[in-house]
Amino acid sequence: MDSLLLLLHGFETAMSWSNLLYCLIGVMLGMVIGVLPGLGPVSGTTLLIPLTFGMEPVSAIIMLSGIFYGSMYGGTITSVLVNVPGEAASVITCIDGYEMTKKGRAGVALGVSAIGSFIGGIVAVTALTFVGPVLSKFALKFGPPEFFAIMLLGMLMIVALMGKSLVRGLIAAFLGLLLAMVGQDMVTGEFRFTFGSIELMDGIDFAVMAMGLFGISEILLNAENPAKVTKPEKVKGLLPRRDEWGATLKSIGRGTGIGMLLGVIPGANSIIASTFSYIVEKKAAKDPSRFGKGAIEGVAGPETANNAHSGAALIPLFSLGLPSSPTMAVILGAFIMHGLTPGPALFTKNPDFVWGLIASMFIGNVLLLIMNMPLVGMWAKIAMIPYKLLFPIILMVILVGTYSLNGSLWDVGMMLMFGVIGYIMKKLDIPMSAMIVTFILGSQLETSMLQSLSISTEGFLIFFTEPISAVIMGVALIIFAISVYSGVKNKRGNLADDVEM
Amino acid sequence: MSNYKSGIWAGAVIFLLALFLFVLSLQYSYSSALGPGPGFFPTWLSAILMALAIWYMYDSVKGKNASSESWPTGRSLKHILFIVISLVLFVIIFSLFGFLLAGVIFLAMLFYKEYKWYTTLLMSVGITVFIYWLFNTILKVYLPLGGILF
Repeated sequence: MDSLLLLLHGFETAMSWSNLLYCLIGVMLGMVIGVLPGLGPVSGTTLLIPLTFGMEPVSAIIMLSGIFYGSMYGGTITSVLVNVPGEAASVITCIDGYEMTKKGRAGVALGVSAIGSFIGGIVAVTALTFVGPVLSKFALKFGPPEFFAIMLLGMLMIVALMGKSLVRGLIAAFLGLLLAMVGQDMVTGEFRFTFGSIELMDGIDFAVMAMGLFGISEILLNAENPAKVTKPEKVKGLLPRRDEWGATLKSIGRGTGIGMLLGVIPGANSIIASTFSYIVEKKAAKDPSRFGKGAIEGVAGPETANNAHSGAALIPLFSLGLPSSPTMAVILGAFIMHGLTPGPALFTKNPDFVWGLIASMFIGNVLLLIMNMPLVGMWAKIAMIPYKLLFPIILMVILVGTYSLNGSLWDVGMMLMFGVIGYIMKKLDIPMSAMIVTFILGSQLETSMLQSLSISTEGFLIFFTEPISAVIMGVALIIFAISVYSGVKNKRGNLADDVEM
Repeated sequence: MSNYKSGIWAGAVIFLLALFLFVLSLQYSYSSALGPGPGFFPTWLSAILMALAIWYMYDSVKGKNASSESWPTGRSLKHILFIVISLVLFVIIFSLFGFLLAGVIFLAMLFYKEYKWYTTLLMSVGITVFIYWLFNTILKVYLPLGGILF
C-alpha cells in the first residue's frame, strides 16, 4: 500500500506543467525516432542526452524514458504500413502486419498494436511500481560481494545472449572494461592509460562513446543500404472485428507476460521478446497456417511483448542499478550525469524522483495511446521525410551535442573515432551492446571487487562463502558454462543477433 | 576482403592492443595495503583479452562463426568515406573558423549531391543558424562563432 501512496505523490511531481510538457516532448520524439527507419532507440536516446543538460534531473529522465518507450510504439507504424521496420523490435511485425495492410486492414493492425502496446506498457509499469521497491529493499542488504556477483551475472548474461559468437562477445566485454579503466583510479588516485593527456584524466565520457558507437556508426551503416519508404496507404478502421477480440486479447495477455519476464533478464533484448511471442502465438493458434498471411495475433502478441519488455527493463535498473540493455545503459549514463545513482538506495534517497518518473510513465503511455489511435495517419507521413535530408541533420545534432557536453573539440574527435570503431565492430559482428554495458559498469565492478577483498579474510573465497553472492555466482557460472557448451557445439540460435536495443 | 581474413586481422589488432595495455598495466602497482592495487584489474583484463584475441584468430582461421556482414565496396564504400571525411573536415573547420562556417560547409557537402545549389545553400545556412539559435538560447550551450584564425 505504501507504493500506492508514494505513487500518488509521484503524480503530483509528474503532473506539473513543465514535467507534463517534457513527457509529451519525450514520447513525441520517441514516436518520431521509432517511425524513422535508420534511427533506433539507443541512438535516439543518446542523441538527445545533451539536450537535457539544462533541465532538472526529474524532467530530463522523464523525457529520456519517454523517448525510449515511445519509440517502441512508433516502430510499429512503418512495419505495418510500408514493410520497413522503424526499429529492430518491430521486424517481426512486418510479417503479418504488412500482410494485413495488403488486405486493406492496416488500421486494424495499427489499432491492436496500439491497444496491446498500451496494455503491455501499463502492466509493466505497474509491476515496476510494486516489484521495484520490494526488490530494492532486499538489495539494500547487499554488500560489495553481492554487488560484484550481480554485476558479473548481468555482464555474463549479456555476453551469453547477444551476438552469434561467444568469443566475440567476451572480447567486446573486456574491451569495455578496459576502456572503463582509463583515467584516475577510484581507490588510490593513480592515473591509468592516460598517456599524459589532460583530457583522458577524467576517463572517457560515456555520452561521447555512446554517441559515436550508436549514432555515427548507424548513419554509416545506413549509408550502405538506405531503407526505401514507399508512400503509405490511407489508414481507416482501427478496431478488430467482433469475433477477433477474444483471440486478440489472449495474445495481448501472453505478450505482456513474455515481455515482462524477458524484460528483467539482462541481455534478453526486446527483439527476443517479440520474436519469442510470435513463436508462442503460432504454437497457440488453432490454425497456424494463417500466420504469414495476416494473422491478427501475429501483430498483437509481439507488439505487446516489446512494450512490456521496455517497461520491465527498468525494474533491474531502478532497484539494482543493473542495465539490461544498451538503451538502459544510456539511461543509466544520463542518471549519473544528473548526479543520481541508480541502485537500491534510489527509492529511499530520491523518492520524489523515482515516483515522479514512474507516474510520468503512466501518463506517457496514455499520451501514446491517444497519439497512436486517432492520429496514426500523421505519423505515417513523418516516415516519408527523405533520408538524404535527414541524415546530415542527425549528424549535425550529434556533432553539436557532443561538443556541448564539455565545450571541447577533443570530445568530438573522440566521438568520431568511436563512430568508426563501432562501424567496424558491427561489420566484424563484435557486439557493441556488451561493450557499452561493461564500460558503464566497469569502475563499479572494480570498486566492489576491491572492497570485497579488503573486507574478506579468505581472499577471493568471499564471493562463495556469503550465501547470496554464492548463489548468484553459481548461476553466473552455470550460464557461462552453458554458453561455452553451445558455442562449442555451434548451437547458438539465430535469436541471438546483436540488436542495439 | 573475406570475412575469415578480416577476423584474423581484427584478432591480431586486438591482440596487439591488449599486449600494449598489458605492458602498461605492469607499471601500476599490482597490490596495495588493502589488497589488490590499481594494477590488478587492468593486468588481468588485458591478459585475458590477449587470450581471447588468440581464440578469435583461431576461430577465424578455422572459419568458424564468421560474421555474416559484408564489407562495403565500390559506391557505398565511397559514400561512407565521404561522410567520414566531411565529419573530420567539420572538426577542423570548427577549430579554425568557428561553428557557423563549419556547419554550413558540412551540410552543404552532404546536401550538394542530392539537391540544386540554391536549395543546398538555403538549407545549409538555415539549419546551421537554427541549431546555433537552439543551442545558444534554449539549451544555453555556447557555440563559438570564431576559431583560432579569426
